[in-house]
Amino acid sequence: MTSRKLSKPADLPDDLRPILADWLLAAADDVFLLGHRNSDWTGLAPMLEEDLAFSSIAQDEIAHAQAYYLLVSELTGQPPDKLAYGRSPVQYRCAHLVERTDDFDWARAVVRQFFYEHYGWLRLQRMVRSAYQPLAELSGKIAQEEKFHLEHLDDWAVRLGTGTDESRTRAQRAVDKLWPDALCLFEPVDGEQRLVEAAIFPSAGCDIRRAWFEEVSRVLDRAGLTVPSADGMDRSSCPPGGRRGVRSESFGELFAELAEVYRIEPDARW
Amino acid sequence: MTALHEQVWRTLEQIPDPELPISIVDLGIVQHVEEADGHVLVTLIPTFVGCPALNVVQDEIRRQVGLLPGVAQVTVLFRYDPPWTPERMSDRGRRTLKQLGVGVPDRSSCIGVRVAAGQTTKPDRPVPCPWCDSTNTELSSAFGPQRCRMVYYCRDCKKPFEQFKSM
Repeated sequence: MTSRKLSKPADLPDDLRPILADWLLAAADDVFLLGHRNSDWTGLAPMLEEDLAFSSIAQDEIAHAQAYYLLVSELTGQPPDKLAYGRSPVQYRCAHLVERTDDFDWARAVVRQFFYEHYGWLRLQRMVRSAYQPLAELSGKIAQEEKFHLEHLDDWAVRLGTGTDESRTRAQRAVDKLWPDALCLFEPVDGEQRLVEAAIFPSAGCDIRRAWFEEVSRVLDRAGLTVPSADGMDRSSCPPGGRRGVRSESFGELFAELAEVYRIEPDARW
Repeated sequence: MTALHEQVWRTLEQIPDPELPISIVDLGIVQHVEEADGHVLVTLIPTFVGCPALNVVQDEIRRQVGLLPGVAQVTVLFRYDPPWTPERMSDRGRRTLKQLGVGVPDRSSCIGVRVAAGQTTKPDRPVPCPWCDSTNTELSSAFGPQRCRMVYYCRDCKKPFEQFKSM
């Protein structure tokens, strides 16, 4: 571990720059796709307050994605819009969880976001201690905003779990269905260990995974929902997935919609 | 501080936030102003990441500061350190917003960077209604019509009001 502060891209060792760019793309792509998925609920959420809340969360996520793409852009020189819309599917680094459709099942949208928020929060708590200053600073700001999401989604998990028979059944079904994807949030990008060693991402993979399991279990217990098996909490259980460019079957349709305007007019100015 | 440096601050004090009737200085987003040989550098700390008002503010600063005699170049930078919290809002800004029914958490209830230490965003004391000052209020939603604000309801004067997120 080093305590040296890396305050700009040029301070990074040459060989770490592409790894960090790839790692930041994972963070950016996660919230970019999730924000897009969540925006489907604008106008359709179960009540007016939630319509505003879920739309606001979607807006936050897309703003965070933009900020991460800007950090990548500083490392690679590629414009942020090209990073967001102009890569081929295998170049995306998001986890499969955020690609998944919810089929307009509110419980599934809530559980998808709930699983992600706990992961995102733990990741942020490590990112704020990053030796790479631009990342540490941005993460501190994002953490302020994400704390509201985390509490909101915990409230929803409990509300669904302790609501009616139908809400509990749907919530449990969503938990069981999305659980294998949630475990693959922790899949490392290639070379991630180098970033850990350089204190750019000061975390060991299994420690964040264990913390996630404990936090998620605590809330699911409170919601009266059954926590799926802890099997598979070790790194080896994840086949190469989203973080290494393998796309789920849900990605194609989502990506076609997401990048439609960009493909028509790649140089459009807003 | 040079005369021009002071003039830049006075100009910034006249630039309103595009979504609020208070200046960007009262809002507390101007972190730093530097001036050397007609080159002005203004550092802003956004209230929220990627707030859509930022581009408007940036253009307005470039335009208005650029008109000052002796200014050759204006650069506007965005930083996230320190992170903005409502703690930074001036008393004048708070009074103006209160008159419009928008509450701002008092300075001691802003959690700021302590958020990362696991503290909850839920206020630890009642939130007063900006209309009637009653503390008989309840949170309707932590997410309001704008990303920086929540929605409360006053049980006494029976009105909803917006409250800045106490981050």
